[in-house]
Amino acid sequence: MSKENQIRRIKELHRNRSKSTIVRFSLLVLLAVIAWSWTAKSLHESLISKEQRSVNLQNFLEKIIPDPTRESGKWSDSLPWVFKNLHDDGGLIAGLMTFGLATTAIWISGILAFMILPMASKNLATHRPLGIMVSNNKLTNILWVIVNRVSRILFLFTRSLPEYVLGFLLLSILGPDPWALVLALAIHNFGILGRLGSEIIENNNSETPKAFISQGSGRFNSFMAAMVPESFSRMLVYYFYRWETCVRESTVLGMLGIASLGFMISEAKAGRDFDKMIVLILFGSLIVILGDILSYWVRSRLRLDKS
Amino acid sequence: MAKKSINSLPSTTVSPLIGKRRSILFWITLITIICGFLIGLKPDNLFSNNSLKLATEFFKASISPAIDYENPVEGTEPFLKVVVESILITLRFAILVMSVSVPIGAILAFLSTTAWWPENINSTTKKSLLRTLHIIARSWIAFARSIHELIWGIIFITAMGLSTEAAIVAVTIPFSGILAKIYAEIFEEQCKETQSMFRAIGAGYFVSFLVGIIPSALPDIISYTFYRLECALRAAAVFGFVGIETIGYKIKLSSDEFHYQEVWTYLYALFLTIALLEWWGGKIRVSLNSKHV
Repeated sequence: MSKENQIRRIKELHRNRSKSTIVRFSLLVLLAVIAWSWTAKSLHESLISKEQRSVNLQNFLEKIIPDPTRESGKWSDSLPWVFKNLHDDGGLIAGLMTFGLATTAIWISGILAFMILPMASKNLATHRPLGIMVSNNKLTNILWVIVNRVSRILFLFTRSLPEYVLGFLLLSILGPDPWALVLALAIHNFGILGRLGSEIIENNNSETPKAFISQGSGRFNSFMAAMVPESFSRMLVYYFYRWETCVRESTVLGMLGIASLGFMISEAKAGRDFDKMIVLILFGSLIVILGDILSYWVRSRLRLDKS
Repeated sequence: MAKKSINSLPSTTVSPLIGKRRSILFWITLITIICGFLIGLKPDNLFSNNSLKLATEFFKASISPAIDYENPVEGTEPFLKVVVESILITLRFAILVMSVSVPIGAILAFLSTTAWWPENINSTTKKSLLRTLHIIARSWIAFARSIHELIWGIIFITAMGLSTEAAIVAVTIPFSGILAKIYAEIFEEQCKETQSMFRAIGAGYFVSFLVGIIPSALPDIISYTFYRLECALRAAAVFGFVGIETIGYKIKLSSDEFHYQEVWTYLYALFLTIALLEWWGGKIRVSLNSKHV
């Protein structure tokens, strides 16, 4: 091939590359929206002057140094102080509370999501489960469409509500009870686990459930006896993945007013004990990292089981 | 003889009543019950009379979301206009956050992944430089992720005072970390064949990463980025509780006055926005995936 032909061929290939109008259109919309959000007027008019701000910052930076260190200048003097904050003032218990909230919440959402998710998966909740015609009754066909739609919308709706907002609303309904926070976490994660779970069921291409249904088994039996055993590990992987995010989320839910880590952080902030606040925040981050490691360990073991 | 052959047949194992899966479920449930006991969850607290009454009131309001103020005051803007405006502010906040987080996350992901590394590096200084960068990026990502955006927000707001910039920086720190972690994981999951082919015909490490890994990773990256945008929207709503006037702020105001119908209107508006985003992201993903076929 001569040089010219080569260039021509490259141009031809470039012209014939696959294009998608929707991707291009989306890109344009995205750019326009980004430009709009950067240029439109400020979201929050700050009432504080620049000088006041730098005074604030200086104040804050001074105050985050632990008290004992500020007095003696040695960081080692602060260790007993850290211990006192975490042990005597209930930081450790608050940390355990964080784990407890996450564990109970994810269990509730796991159970509820498991009950609804077969109804939300497109390949089961239809008049032709897994492509096998089982009935030709118009009414039941419509009924299955409704069941599928409603459960999908339920998952999407619960997923779209932020835990913190849910926690706030539930606290105003239930009063100061740990139930409010547990349910807030559970409702949001119910939506996420349900969606992830129904995706697992939709991606299940194995023949066993098909054989079940073609032999006359119902959707529920085929789901419980053929699909769940096959995708059990994968579902648990998602369970622990969401548990990990629950731990992260429950460190802040306490700020709404239940005795836990978030509550202690906002109390320290209100009392302008910034040094204590930072210690508690770092402790919270340690808890989240611990949760991550634990969940990573469990998930990698579950993956080994699968193969 | 016959007896012997029966004995040598492979024995079928009778599945035990509590098999592996059941025992996992059993332990999870047991630990959960202990946790519930420790944090003081009492089932009857959930069904106390007072909370039941408020709960029915709250859920009754879900059927008839407000289309006007429940307690209209002269001279205020129409309710539905306020709803749309608060959604727009929330969206703006989320987009501001994402437009900063995505580039930072991409850079962090590039630094923290080994997907573009040369297979055998000869010089030890280069090797140790890459290793240090890798470790620094990974630890920063783990640290940034481990602190919730709202706590970053509180740190910045106490340090600098309440401002949009402080809130955006606060959300950007953990979000760019999470994006970086997932991006790096996606890079590493991709099939390495195209990349090594480009390397074999003499392309540089960076270029072969760019053309060998990124195109095939793009659909996953885009759908995760859309999911994060959704999370950013929720984070924006939550920042309404510290004073940025997003939809969360309005929810708080309405709920404080027990105007539950208004609350539901805001919740439905948030839901519709997220549903729209989900639909859009799905469309893009489908069209990107169909290209590969």
